[in-house]
Amino acid sequence: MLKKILIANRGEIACRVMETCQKMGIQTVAIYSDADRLAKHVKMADEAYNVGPAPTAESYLRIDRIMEVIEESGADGVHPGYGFLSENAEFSRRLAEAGVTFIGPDEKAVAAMGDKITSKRLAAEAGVSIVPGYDGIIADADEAARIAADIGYPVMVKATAGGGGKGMRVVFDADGIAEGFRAASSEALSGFGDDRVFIEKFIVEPRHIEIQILADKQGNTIYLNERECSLQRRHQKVIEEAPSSFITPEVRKAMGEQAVKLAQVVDYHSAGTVEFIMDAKRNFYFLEMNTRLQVEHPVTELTTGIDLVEQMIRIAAGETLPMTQAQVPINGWSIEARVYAEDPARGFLPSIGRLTDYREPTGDGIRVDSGTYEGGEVSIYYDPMIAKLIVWGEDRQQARERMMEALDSFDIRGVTTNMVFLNALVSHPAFASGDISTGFIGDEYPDGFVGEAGSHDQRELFAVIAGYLRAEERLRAGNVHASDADSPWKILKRAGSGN
Amino acid sequence: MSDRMQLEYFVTIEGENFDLEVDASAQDATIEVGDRTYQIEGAYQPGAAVQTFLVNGQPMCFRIQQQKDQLVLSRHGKEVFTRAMNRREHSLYSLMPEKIAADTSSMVISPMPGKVLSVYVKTGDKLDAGAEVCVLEAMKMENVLYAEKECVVQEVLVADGDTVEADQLLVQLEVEAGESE
Repeated sequence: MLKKILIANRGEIACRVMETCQKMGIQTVAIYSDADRLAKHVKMADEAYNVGPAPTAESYLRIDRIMEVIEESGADGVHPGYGFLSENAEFSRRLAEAGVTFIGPDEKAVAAMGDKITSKRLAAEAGVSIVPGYDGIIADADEAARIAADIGYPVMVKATAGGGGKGMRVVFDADGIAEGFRAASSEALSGFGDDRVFIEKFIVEPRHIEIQILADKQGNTIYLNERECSLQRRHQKVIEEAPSSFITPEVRKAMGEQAVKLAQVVDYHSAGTVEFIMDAKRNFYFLEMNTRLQVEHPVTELTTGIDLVEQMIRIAAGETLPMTQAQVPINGWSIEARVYAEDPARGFLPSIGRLTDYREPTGDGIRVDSGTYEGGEVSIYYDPMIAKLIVWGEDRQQARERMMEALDSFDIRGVTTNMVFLNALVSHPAFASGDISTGFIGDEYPDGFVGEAGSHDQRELFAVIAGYLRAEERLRAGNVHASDADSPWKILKRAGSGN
Repeated sequence: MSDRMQLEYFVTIEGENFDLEVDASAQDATIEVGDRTYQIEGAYQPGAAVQTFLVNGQPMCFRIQQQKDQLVLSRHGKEVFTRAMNRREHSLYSLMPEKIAADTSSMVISPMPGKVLSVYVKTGDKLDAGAEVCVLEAMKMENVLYAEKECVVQEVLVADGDTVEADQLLVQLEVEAGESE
């Protein structure tokens, strides 16, 4: 077993990894930038080393400096968390050269899955469903029409060089294909100087559903069910849950088996996630594989009882998986909400500053993964996520209710947070019924989110509370006045004797 | 002094008016509104941002924030800006002028604290509506700031690399008279 692990990360994920290390009796080494001197992950670690100034390129991404710290501290393993160097092939290679264990998959798997074209090709070879499409050069509108008919409408015509919605057209039937092809090609030419386009199936009401896998170095691979992350804002996940309210046990099994096959094709070991997009008829297609621990991994942990970080460490140390596929449970329901320092009323702009008050909610089924503390700062240098609030319930309804209460009782002041927005999502009737897609947030809140009461009953309840607060304030003021009516000296004396 | 107080408050939320008859002690209150009666219990902690009260016997947690003379109340994703007024305040409130937001179309203002990556304009430049004025970086994200209207650059108040605060004026523009949106 590993004896000392360096966590090449900061914030909540560094703290999360250290918690498991401590539980396993493994020593921990933190790295930190100048801005993170007082950070929670630095205090939690057995040893901590400064790796440079606040900007990530000068600290957390400095492979050379981190290698020095590894040598100095004598760490025999490195956990990269997510982001930063978690999918960096050079970092893995340098660690291997130094004889240090990287707690993650090997370099080849990372490289294969990191490349969009290679990963799709490997997925297709492994029998994983991929979005039907044609990625050859399309000569003209007639050819486009033939290809679209083969794929089946609706289709998306997309610029090869595209991005950000430019050079993209959705075509719903054969009548629209010529115009769609022309518009996408000309936008592609003016936008990217390259008029090549390809055609693929357009997914109606897409949902984002991903499969967590675990694979050991002996070739055993299992899937730990799915997570649904359909509530996204600009491709950033906002609310995640496990299991999904949409899929059936048969679909779960099919997705899980495909994810396992893909992992086996690249001799994958460690924890990984295979992301799928699913249409309204539960057809699912491969998107990409993430070769690291995901932000939303806690919802899998709470519904399977498996500590993913512990399994990653054990696998890296050469241990065999402790269970078979048949032994993987689904117990209850879990929802995660990402609490960000951002202002939903101002287009979700980051809100930075000091957390003047910070008290996490407590109670049955509540878990908070955070890397901050009261008095801590949300700075301009790093991701403005303050914490992940994760709840567990016997069923989805109970999990939702716990999340709604926990979000209301999470006391964060000093910065503006997205908690009211998160609560609006979790208490939304569409979310309650599971009727969501990746377009939900954009469709429901096209101009951002502004709080409102909505119904008469809601307004009345708030009015009553406003009245109660004013009345209680008035009563306090009244009591102070009553004492004032006594001799002022009496009050002074009372104050004195009270000390 | 009696333990209980009888008070009358007026609350307006999203254009709907509520007249409250409140019978309160330091621990609880009975509040009549329209034909309904609410029983509220729970000690009020001034300044607390999160408070739980029993409303008709059911515990309910509220987020409470004071913003100038307004109260921001929130629960389960619903949020309102309001205030409870007594009779005199209520009668005077209708006389208050409505606040008109200042016209900021001739100013490029920093929406958040960050660093100026580059300024694309200089004094005297003529800009079309939607022209890129400068790029601001915060949280590793680049944000382009645009001119709202056709205008001439009057003064550039920042340079590349400057660190700026939220709501700081970055570039002063001059919108031609007679030009309307």
